Amino acid sequence: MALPLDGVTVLDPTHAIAGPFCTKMLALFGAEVIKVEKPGRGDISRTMGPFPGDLPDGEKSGTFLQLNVSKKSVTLDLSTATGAAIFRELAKRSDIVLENFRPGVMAGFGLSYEALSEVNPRLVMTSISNFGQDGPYRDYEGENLIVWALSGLMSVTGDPDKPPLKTGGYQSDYMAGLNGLVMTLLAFVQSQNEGQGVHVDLSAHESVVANVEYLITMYTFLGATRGRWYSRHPFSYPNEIMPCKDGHVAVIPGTSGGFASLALMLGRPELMEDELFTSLRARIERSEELEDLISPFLMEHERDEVVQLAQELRMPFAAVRGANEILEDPQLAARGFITEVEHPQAGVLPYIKAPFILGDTSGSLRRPPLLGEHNEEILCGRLGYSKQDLGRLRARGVI
Amino acid sequence: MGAQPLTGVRVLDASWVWAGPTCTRILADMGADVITVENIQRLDVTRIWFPAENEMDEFWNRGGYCMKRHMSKRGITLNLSHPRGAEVFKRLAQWADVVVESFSPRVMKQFGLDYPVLRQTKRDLIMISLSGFGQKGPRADWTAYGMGIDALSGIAANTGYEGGPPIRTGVSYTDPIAGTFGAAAVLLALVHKRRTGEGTYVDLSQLEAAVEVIGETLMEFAMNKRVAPRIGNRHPSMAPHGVYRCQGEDAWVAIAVGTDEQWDRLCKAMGEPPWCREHRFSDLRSRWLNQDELDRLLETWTSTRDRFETARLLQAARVPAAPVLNNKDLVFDEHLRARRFFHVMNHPVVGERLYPVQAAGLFNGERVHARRRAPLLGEHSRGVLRSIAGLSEEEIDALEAERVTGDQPAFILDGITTDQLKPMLQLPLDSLLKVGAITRLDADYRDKQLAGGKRRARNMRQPRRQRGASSITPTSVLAP
Repeated sequence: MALPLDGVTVLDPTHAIAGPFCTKMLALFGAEVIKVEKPGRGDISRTMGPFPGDLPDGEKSGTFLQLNVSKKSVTLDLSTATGAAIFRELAKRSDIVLENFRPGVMAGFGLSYEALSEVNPRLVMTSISNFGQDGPYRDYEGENLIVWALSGLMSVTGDPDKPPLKTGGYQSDYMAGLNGLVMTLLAFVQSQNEGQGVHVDLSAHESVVANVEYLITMYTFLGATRGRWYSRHPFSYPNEIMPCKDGHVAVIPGTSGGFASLALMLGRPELMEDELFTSLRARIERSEELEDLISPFLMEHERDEVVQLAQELRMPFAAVRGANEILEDPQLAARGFITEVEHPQAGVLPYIKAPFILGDTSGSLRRPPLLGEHNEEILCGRLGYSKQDLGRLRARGVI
Repeated sequence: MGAQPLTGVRVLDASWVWAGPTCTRILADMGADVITVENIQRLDVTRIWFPAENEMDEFWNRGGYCMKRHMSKRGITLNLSHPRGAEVFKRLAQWADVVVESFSPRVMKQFGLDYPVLRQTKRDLIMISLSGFGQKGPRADWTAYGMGIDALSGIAANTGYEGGPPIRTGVSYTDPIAGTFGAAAVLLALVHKRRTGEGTYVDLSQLEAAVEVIGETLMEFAMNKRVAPRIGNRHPSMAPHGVYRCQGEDAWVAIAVGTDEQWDRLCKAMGEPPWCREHRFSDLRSRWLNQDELDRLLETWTSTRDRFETARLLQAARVPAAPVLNNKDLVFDEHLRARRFFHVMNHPVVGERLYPVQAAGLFNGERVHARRRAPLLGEHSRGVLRSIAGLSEEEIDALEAERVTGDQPAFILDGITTDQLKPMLQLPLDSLLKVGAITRLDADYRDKQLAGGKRRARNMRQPRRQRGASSITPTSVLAP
């Protein structure tokens, strides 16, 4: 199947996680994504690691590699007049520009949406930032923890007698990138419909809050302020993570006949009549008693066995897994989700594609680029610079 | 209303709970004509959750979850496991450009409504299935809830206090992540159809969607055979990085210092307490190595201060900081309100409420809000079955008599009263309050949510900006 975005060019000066995550998906589905990286250091994710043997190397950073498959790399110092001019030339020949600098930075380079749409009136430009291009927090110093604190999620995660807890990793950045993917595609469709460009302004902060919307509903429909309650789900308790013999399992009886199934699994059918199993109120107020009923069974069984038994009874229990098991998951392997690709410096590593199969493909996966690998192809081949020109630009630090 | 790029796109939505409806709400907000198909014989659980005011009258039209999820859509009811229900669905699928479903694999096939069948009468159909694990493979027939995907994907293992067990994030958001990916997939399929005239079948896995957001952890294992330990709110290299107690009950401020310049500014903002200039805190690496003590000392400063004021002071000094907000704080957040993140929608049963957007972003400076309120259960059944499926009034009456369609849950039609259902459906808010799962219940929330937002909300429909006008005009956004 031809890829949907064949022939679409994306000019991509994004860095770190949010922007590159978005443009990875565009690249997987056929867009030519031209990364614009800072000469010398490149995309900051090249410094983030993880690194093989913990030895920092800009061509071997796991975060950079995972996020930048199927893209080309050009180096440009956008803070120089020449660098910005070259960017404008490329923008003229592009369908989409994605950027995730702080608000005002692109304008400072002379590369605002207004400036770029003058050279390319149909251009779609998506600006991803922590808090958006306007509003009281616009110029706030952001970081994953800071955005997460403002999202409401920390106040409901963790133990009541311990500090609010952040979900591991860089979730706000990924959510921003994912939202960016949808909004950019919508803007692309819009610009095709109307023959006019679109500027999309989206924030990591809003991207997270949009995903936790029922926290808002709890207040607007019930006046309730929610607190932390361990791993317990307040409305369909028990739904929580409990230890078992060799690990942890998410105990989820489910909403259709789950408690009868749970009683069966525990080998105690009489519990089906017990108030602890029939009344949500009782389960909430006597949660420790309920856990004491379930825990011995879990501690006597291995995690995978518990899950198998539960699934056979149609209870959606799930194993708590780490990265190692995900890499070896036979279901993911059967779907071709993880593919090993060779990289000239980083070697062979596992890369993940899109989480869906569109027709017969979950994306066209090619190795991530080396820093500036496509300078010649793009600057000479497309813009007509000579090799000597490139040498001069390099000497001046423009590329 | 703003941009409507999907005007003219027709979507038939048989999905339920959270992932699928998120996908279709995004499409609907952006102009698609979405018809959501529910079943009075088997209600979507989200029809019931968060009943407004925790009251049970007409509870199937009071649920906060679906009030929000089904905005911008029309709603009908059809029992797809009944042959007549499936037959009507098939007719509607001929009208649709896109069909969305999120059942376990094989269910649509059992209904006789899978892609190969629907495609026979609509060659260029786009269909997307959002299942837990994908349509095929050794685990395809396992059931999956969001809490389970959180566990399986590695997100839970990556979350927890240092030295502690894995912890479930308070909202298991892998569903809307899958739904948002679903919307992206549908858009790619629409682009493909525009170019080639061809439809597509999309097979989405919610587990894979969740794994995407911790992709770098796979690299850590592949490179170094290591699974990173849980580190609470800490960071692999930054320090200080965490939350610090402030004045008041359960009040915290988050602070994240990534550079020596930020550390210098933090010290100044704190008024240079003697400890902050100690050698062991003078560079990033040393601070990271000594962060236990650093955190303790930093908290001696924050613990006498208000969380909002402290965050403002630090941000003014260009130090990354923020108050830890709870769900009520979110509703009144000045930035979200200034950015028009909320809008007011009226509804015949629950009245006026504040709702958040789904696809969060501005197009040319304009916010795209929901186009209409959520439908009542089966509200558009008659109209849709008549005008799109071509049924006569008598035929629709017959379907109603057989409970294939309708606008009340089947068990209500069977005579069960809401009083009888109360113990099962009403939330034991007092119990939740007792155990701390809920920390307070406000009485004035209905008026309060509108009072703060009304001014902004009423000015939602701003005139379309002139082309070329800057979208970065904070003063005009904040003006009442």
